[in-house]
Amino acid sequence: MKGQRGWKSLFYRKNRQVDVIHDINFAVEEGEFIGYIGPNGAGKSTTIKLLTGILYPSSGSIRVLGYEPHTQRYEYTYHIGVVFGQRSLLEYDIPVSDSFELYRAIYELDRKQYQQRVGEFTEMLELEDLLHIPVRKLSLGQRMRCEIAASLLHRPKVIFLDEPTIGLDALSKHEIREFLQRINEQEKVTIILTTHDMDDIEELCERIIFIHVGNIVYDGSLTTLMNKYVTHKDVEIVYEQPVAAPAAFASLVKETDHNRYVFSVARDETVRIVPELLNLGSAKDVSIHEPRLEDVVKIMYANGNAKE
Amino acid sequence: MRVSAGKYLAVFHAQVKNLFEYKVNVYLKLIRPIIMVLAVGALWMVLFEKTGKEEIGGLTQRTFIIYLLIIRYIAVFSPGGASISEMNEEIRTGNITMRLVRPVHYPLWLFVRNLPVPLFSGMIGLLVVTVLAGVLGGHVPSGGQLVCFVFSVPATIMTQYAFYQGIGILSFWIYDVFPIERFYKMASSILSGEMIPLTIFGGMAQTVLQFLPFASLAFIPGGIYTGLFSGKEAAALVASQYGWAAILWMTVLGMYRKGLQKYEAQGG
Repeated sequence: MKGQRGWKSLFYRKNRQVDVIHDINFAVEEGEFIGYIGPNGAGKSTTIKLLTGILYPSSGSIRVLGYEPHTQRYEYTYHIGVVFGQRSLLEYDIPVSDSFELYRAIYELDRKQYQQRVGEFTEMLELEDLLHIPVRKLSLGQRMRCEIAASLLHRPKVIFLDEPTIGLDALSKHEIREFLQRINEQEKVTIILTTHDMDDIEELCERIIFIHVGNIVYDGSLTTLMNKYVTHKDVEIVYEQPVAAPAAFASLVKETDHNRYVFSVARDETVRIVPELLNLGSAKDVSIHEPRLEDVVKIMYANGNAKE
Repeated sequence: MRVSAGKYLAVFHAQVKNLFEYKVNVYLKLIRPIIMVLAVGALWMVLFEKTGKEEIGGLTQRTFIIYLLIIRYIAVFSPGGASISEMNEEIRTGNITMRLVRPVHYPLWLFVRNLPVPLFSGMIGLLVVTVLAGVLGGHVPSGGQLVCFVFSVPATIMTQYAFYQGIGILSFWIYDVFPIERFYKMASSILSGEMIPLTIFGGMAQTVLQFLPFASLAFIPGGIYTGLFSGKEAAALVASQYGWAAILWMTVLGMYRKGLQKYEAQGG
């Protein structure tokens, strides 16, 4: 990193070295679907770029599928697929099918297997109406479906997805998530997903690696993480009339608004306490909210640590 | 690293399709070099007439015009200029990332991607130059000179492209390489004999200049075709072209490897 001090920077600049990632150690088994998350600037994309061979590490070692990505990039890339949500791998001005054909040649795929693969993806991702349209004319959601298909044509063993659902509507996200889940389950493809969309993580990933300021601060299952941080549930009750909460429940009241009350109840007490809360008055409506992963991650981002 | 011709043919094919999405743009790109060739030829014809000179640099008026047409035509074949801007942009913006995650050799990818327009321009230019050379008359190359010329042209294109690739690869270290490109074009237009044959310098200066890599870009192929060199001298110059092309390409590939190690992959 270079400091700039106006005209003096023409002659002299102070350099400062910034370590983007410090102590990243993890192993991934075949077929795992991993969410690699962290706040902006944590080092997520840098890690992905190291794993895909784009960047050279200044120290340490990396092995994926037995390859050292940055020194064996050419041979290694035959076995991986990469989708960067903010960058495109398709040729902009020609139909999607021509881009697929180009990638068939680049990955030296057998024509019959390639056609079978395109047929499968056309059905799974509903690409039939898109194949003959130039990429520049596709919507974002349509393009992402095509990008993901293109990245998987050569049956990679590992896929790296960097924000694949960014900017997509709910339906498009759902379609892509379903597709990725199917690929992961049926073909045992290992998937490493970086995203800020926690719904992607909740729906797809069994394991989460949380990185902050270049360090791993959590590496484990999603369930364990939620159990660790989600200790309470919000129970929202709307009564016919305002009620007076007895002293025993006064500490549970999180917020009130006329006859609407939100109680924060310990997870393992919910089944016992909710009926008693309902008996405080004549309840019109009740709903129970469990904090989402997004809420948990906000706490982790703020605290910067979630070490087990 | 194995190099599969099929994948780069596919890259070429895809780029042709890309280009022909914008037909008018392609037609303009094809005829532009031809217009430049004709303009340069016409300019020098007028210059000769006005100055009343019979010879420049050891070449008669007609042969000199053919020399200029030949070297302009060969320059048309070079896909270098477009590859500098594409490489510079891709490195600056981080879009080179999308090339590096595929099993392709990036410099070779760029070369093939930028080949269609110069290739097609060159084929049309060949027709134009052949007709003009026939009309103008002047020196007709012998069989041996023609053979040397045919061997010289690929070396010229390889050397030209090596220079352009080298400048593009500097994008790993320098944000804006276009000042370097402009300086290179200015220097090479004189040192290569593009503006005027190196015979104008004469003596030791000419001998040194014609064995530098810049002479490979214009003076050697143009000089062979127009009879300035023949026999062993022509063969020696063609050999020096290939020697320089090999040295430059090894340098460029070394720079590329170093550049990749330094690459910071801008953006998320």
